[in-house]
Amino acid sequence: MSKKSKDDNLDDFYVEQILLMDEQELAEDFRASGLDRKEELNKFNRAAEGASLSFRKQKLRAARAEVDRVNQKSSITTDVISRIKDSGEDIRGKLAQLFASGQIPAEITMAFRDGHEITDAEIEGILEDLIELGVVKDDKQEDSK
Amino acid sequence: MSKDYSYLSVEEFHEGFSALDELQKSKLIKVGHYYRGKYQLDIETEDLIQEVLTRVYEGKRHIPRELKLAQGLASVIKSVANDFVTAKSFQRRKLEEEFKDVEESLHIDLHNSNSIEQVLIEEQAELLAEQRLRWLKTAFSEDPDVSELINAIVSGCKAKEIVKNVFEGNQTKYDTTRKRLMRRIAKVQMEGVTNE
Repeated sequence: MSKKSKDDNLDDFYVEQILLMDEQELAEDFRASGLDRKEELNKFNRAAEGASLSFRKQKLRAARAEVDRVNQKSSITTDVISRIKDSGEDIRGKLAQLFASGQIPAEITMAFRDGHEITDAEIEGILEDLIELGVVKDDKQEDSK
Repeated sequence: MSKDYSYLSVEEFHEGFSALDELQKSKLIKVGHYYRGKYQLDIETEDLIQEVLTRVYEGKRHIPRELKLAQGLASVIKSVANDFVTAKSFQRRKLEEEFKDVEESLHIDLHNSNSIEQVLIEEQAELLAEQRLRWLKTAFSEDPDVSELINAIVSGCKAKEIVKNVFEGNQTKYDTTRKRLMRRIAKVQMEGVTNE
């Protein structure tokens, strides 16, 4: 057996002993090695914050982008529904029209057919889905093109 | 044959690491101090820890799923500390080379310069390991139980085998002996701390 592997065995033993220690044993080991545990923990936490900063910033950027994307989508959907309502057009009628023209995907058609007592809120929900699917266009955006 | 490992993603690591309590963190601090002392690194333990975590967050080091997080991190601490030693040796040797005159440098087979460097680094590591073991045995030369424990550890025996074969099944004797050894290592660490 080489000296290096003997050394590795010593390392393994030490690390295993440390990892198995309970609170009391570890506190005693800190005292015996002259280390201030509280100060060492502060240094450790600062090191961890420094090391994870880039990762945390990246996560935050991704979360913000997702919130922006959802807000933007929600805002477009709300605008389109408001414009339909403002134009005096009946949303239920608009949906029936789309249904009759065969533009609605099968799964939504089924829900619409079964929905004898579909509420206005549910109708708006279906319309929102159709806006997101691109079946109902944002006329304002279309006009600006 | 190499074993196939599955590793934690950076996201999973971050989640696990953020959940570590003070006890676990304290253990990693001790492991950091141990390897810093062992390899005589000229950086602070928190710098070593930061380097370890940076490498994991950057996806350059990985934690196997089957290990507990602290155990996996302890292995990375050892490996990064060892990297520092290798880098330090490399830099020192580069510096020394600049002082060699041309005639002397001609005696070096340039095509094999990497392997020469590697051999020197390994020789240095072996020498340090040998010194460390010798020191440890000398420190406990008058304590036959710890001496036998050290012999069993370096031979690769695990705790159960040591209790059975070295301490004739006496768990209490094993526990008190290993604690004496750990206290001595802690004392050496304290000498290192107070000498700084």
